[in-house]
Amino acid sequence: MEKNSCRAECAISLLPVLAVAALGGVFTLVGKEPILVFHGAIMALSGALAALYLFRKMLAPPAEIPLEYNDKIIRAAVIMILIWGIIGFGVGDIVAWQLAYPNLNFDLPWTNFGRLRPVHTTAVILGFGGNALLATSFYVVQRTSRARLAGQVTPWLVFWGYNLFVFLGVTGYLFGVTQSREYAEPEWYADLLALLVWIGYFWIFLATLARRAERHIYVANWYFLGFIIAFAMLHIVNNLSVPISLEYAKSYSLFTGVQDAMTQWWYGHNAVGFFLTAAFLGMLYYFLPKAANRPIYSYRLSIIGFWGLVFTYMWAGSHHLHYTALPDWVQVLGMSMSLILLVPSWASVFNGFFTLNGAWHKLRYDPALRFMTLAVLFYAIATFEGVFMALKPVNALSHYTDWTVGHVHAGALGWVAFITIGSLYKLVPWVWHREGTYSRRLEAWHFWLALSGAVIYVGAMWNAGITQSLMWQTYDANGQFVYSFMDSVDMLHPYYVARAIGGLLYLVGFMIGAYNIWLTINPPTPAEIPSTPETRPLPASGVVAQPAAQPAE
Amino acid sequence: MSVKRRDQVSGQLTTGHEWDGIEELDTPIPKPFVWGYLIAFLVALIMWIALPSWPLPSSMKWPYITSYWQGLLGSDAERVERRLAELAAQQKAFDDKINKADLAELVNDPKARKLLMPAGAVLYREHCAMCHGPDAKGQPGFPNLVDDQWLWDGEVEGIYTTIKYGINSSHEETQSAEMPGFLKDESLTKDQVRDVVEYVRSISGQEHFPEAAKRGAVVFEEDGACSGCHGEGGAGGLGVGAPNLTDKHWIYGGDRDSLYRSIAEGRKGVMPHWVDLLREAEIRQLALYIKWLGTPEKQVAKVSSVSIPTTAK
Repeated sequence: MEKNSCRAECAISLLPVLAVAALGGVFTLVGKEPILVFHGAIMALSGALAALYLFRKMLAPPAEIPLEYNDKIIRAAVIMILIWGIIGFGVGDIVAWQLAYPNLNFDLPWTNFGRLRPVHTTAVILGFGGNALLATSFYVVQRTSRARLAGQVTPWLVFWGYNLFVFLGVTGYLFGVTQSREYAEPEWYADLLALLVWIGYFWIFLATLARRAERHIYVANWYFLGFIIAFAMLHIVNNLSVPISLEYAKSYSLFTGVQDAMTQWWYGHNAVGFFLTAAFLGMLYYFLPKAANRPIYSYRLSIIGFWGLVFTYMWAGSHHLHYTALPDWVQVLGMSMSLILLVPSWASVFNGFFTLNGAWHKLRYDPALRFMTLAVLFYAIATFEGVFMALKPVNALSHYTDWTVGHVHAGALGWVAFITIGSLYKLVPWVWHREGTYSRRLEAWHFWLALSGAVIYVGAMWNAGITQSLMWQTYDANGQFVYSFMDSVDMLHPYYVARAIGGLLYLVGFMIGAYNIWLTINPPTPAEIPSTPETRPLPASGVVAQPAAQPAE
Repeated sequence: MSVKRRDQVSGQLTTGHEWDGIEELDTPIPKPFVWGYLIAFLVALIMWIALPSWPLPSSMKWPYITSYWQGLLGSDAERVERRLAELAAQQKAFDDKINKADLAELVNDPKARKLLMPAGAVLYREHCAMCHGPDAKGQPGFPNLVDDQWLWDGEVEGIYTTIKYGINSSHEETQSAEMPGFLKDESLTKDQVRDVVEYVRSISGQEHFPEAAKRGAVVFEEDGACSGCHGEGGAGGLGVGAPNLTDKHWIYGGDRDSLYRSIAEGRKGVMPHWVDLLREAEIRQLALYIKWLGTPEKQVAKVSSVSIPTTAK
């Protein structure tokens, strides 16, 4: 038995890798846009390197697979979280300043708002968020299954392929390559790469769960798996398009008119629902009880919360298209499902907060736990607010205003990034085998900077959005506007400056965090690095059907 | 099998499962949560009954589902349409008053001025400010509207016509004017153009070369090449779109380079026609607003018999 050789896995992986290399080669040869030739060359080069790597693995003699968790892949993803985080938050703050002072685009095509804004969204959602999910899902699924991550080469192909996808997207935008689909701007060839990556991710996750040494699958893994499956479906359908040729990057969507709009917001809303909510709840369900050292408040609530969330979210996307050409009945269904969605969302809020019962005192000295707790609070606020914004009468006030921007950043800055950062401060010492982070003081600085930044940002946008909408809706007794659109734009200026300052605080906080994590990884005074043994070592054989009985504590 | 344990803090039993040290309590679903779910479903149900919601099967042939529940209250879109119709009727009543009034009388009515200026300012900032500037003082290529100079008829009716049909616009009733490119059409030599530049600088009180200006003056007046449109001595005011060249206001700039370009290559500014985009009453209000902008308030006659064309108090 050549149990440890990579023959089958490497051979199967070779196909998609060669396909990417071949497509890249074609672009390099026939491409007529410099950016497509550049992308083609990068794809061909990456594909060729990956193929070489696979060949070497295939020809190598069967090696012993170490009986330990695969943490190297997690360390790599952590580094990418930091890199994409700084790029994403940095570009976000640049576009925030551009909105306050439009001349800051310096009249260059590459730096105008329309091109930089998707760089921001892609870098934070797919770059920062996506790598955070790779890192934490790989960590959680191994620990809670007591099994080494499946696959010898697939995790690395997924990691590099995924980051190549984000890189292709972000660099393409700067040169005007975009599908103009919210949160799905990368063109068709990058989308195909992402699809291949996703199949690999799905396989790794399932195969790891299949070899678990625990009888039950922990709830965090339900969320991760639900996210992987749902996002595959969303990604495929939303990106169905016809490329115009192999010489240019452009493609056209398979859908037209209001169907296209509905497809985009079905995707867009569920990108928020499954990528930014469900998957990060998976993170919450592991790192919060770990950090608080408390049991999950209610197993039943996590079941109801999970199934309620995944069932209801899928219906809610049409609330982005209230009072448009979208048929009334679709709008009403979206509105009603959004209302119901509050309840399963708050199931996780209940579970998050009450899990802290008996551990609230730890917030005083553990900034990471404070990050996670505030994340739950922001999640509670954002989901509550979202329900109201989805109601048509409220939507008539909030839609097309900066309130929407404030809402999404309450979720993104307050929930997604806070839970990620909180988890990161726990994860990094664990996978690098350190006692703790380099400095709790710096963690605290990061916390307060991030919190003030988020509050300033969201507060400014709430005020700006509601004022904006009220100005648009103010008429005199003769039915004439009291304010011109330009008046509402002038009104926004101080709020836009405040928002950019809030964003700057957030960015500075994150850079302090990255510095702190860097010094945790590379301590300035290299202490004797203890090789702390795993508290719960892997079972001796790869697969154990019957877990050993756990003694009551 | 798993072993349940009683948690010291909450007093609850755990489920007996444990993953990497994480346990779960077997806490029952909290009551408020159950009620919350029920209420949310109930409200959704009411929405579904009251408003158009679920698709319904309506045919035995593919694709079977071609209809949907219409809702007891009917369509929101129809309600919006009805409300818009109400507002349009209200607006028409106001429009009729403005449209019936005589612009020349309205423009001298201080009460009308007081009431209509704010809405006029909104219309101006909505439609005109991007070219003529938020303060209506213009910018390169777009004339100042608050000085006492008018390229075209500066009376309120004239302003009204300009807004309605535009200048060099695509409307058939547009007013047209063009500064020819005298070098381009070879009617002047480069040296002659330079001379005229110096002359124009001299009559606008700028630093210039007197010798060249003198030669330029001859070209300027000769055969009415320039003075035919810009008036004798470049004083303008003929209402044909040619500006006064003796003041300090410039549309395209009074420096040598700009003047040279204007004379050599010509200019043909465009003001779009607004008749297709704005309501009649809006165009009239804008004409009044523009006229009032350039007229100090005290000049408006005190006496007026025009009824105030507004319902605002």
